[in-house]
Amino acid sequence: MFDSNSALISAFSMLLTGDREVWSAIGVSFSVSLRAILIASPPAIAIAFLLAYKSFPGRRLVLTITNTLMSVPAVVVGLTVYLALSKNGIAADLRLLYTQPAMIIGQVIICFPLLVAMAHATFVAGDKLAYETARTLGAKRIPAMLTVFLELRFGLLAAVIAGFSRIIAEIGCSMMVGGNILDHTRNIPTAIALETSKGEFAMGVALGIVLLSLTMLLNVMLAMFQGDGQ
Amino acid sequence: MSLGNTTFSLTAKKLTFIRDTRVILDCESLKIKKGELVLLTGPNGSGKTTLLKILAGLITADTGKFMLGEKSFTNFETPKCLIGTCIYLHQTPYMFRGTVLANLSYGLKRKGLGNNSIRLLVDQAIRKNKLSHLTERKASTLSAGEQHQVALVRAQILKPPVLLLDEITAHMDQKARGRTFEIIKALQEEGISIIFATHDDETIKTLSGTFLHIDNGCLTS
Repeated sequence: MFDSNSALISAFSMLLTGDREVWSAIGVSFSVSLRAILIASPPAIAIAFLLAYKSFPGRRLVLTITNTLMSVPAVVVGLTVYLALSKNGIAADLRLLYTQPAMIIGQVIICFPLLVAMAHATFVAGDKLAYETARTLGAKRIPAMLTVFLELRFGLLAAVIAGFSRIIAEIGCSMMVGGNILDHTRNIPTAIALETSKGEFAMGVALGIVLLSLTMLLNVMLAMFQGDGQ
Repeated sequence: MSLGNTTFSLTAKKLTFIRDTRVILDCESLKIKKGELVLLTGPNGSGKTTLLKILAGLITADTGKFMLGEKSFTNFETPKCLIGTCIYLHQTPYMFRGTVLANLSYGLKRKGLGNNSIRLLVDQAIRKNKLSHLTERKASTLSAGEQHQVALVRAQILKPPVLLLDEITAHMDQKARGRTFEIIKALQEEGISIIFATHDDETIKTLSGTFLHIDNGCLTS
C-alpha cells in the first residue's frame, strides 16, 4: 500500500543525495522544454503582433485555426510527429525519432498556438498608440515592434510562462516521439508515468516535487523581468 | 513636377484617402511655411486625424505628391521620408514605461546618438522647459497636462521641421493649457512648423496662425 510519508522522505532523500536517474530526467525535461520555448516564442510573438497590428486577407481564419489548435491533445501532436519521423514518414531521412530534437519539434508544435493566441490577446488589449508613438519618434519598424514588446512584457512573458508550463508537463508527445530512453529522452513526466506503473511512488513524488519547484523558480525569475505587473 | 519652393517646410498635393468606398480625404493642396502655425479646424470625423497621420507618414495616402524642404516624394515613400521628421502627437499622449528622462531620450536613442550627446540634449530641453521636477518620475504617474508637456518636449528634442498636434489641449485645465501654449510659441520661434488640429475656442483665440478648415475630407482656407 502507498505510504505517503515514506514516499516523501524517500523523495527528498533522492533529491538531496543527487540520485542519478532523478537528476537525469530533470536535466532532459528542462533542456528539451527550454529549447522548445526559446525556438517557438520569437516567431509566435511576431506572428501575434502581425495578427494584431496588420490587416491582411485570411487574418480571421489564421486566428480561428490558432485557437482550434490550442485544444489539440499532446498525444495527437506526438502521433503526427511520430508518423512524420517514422520509417515511412515524410521526414524519415532526418532519423530523429526517439531523440531530444524529436521531442523539441513536438513541444514547439504544442506550445506554438498557445503562444500566438495569448500574445495576440496581449497585443489587442495593449495600447496601440505605443507603436505609432515609437514610429513617429523615428523608430524603424522592427525597433518600434520591439518597443511594443517591451511595453507589453508582462502579458508576453505570461504567454511564454503558460507555453512553458504546458510543455514541461506534457507526457503524450514526449513518450511517443522520445521513447522514454534513460539518460536520453526520459523526462520528468515520462519518468513519473514509468516509475508509478512499477509501484516506485517515491521517485514519482520526488520528480513531481522537482517539477513544481523548478517551474516555480523559473516563474519567479520571469516575474522579476516582468516588473510589478500594475 | 515641381511642388513648391524652400520657403515651405512641407507641401502636399492631390492627397486622397479612400476606405470602403468612403472618401475620407480629398485634399487639393496644403502648404506650410517654416515656423508657421496652422490651426486646423473641422467637425468630428471630418478627416483631421487622417490628414495629420498621412503627413506624419503613419498612414499611406492612396495618392499624393509631397515636398519636405527641397526633397520631393510620392505617397508610397511617405513612411520612409516623413517618419521621425514630421512628428505626430496624439490627443492622449503615450508615455513609454520608465521615467520621464527615459521618455525624453527615446527618439534620440533611435537616431543612434551616444549617451553623452543624449544627456546633453535632454538636459538642455529640461532646463529650457522647466521640467527638472519631473525627470525622475515614472511617466505613467504624470497628470494629463504633464504628459502632454513631456510629449511636446520629447518631440521638440528631435528638432523636427514639422509638428502635427492632434487636439492636444482637449482635456487640459487652464494652467496646463497655458503652459502648452508657451511651449508651442517657443517651438515656432525655433522655426518649427506646426499644424494644430483643434476644436477649442480658447486655443484658436490665443494662438495666432493660419486657419484651415476641413469638412468631409476637403480642405478650405
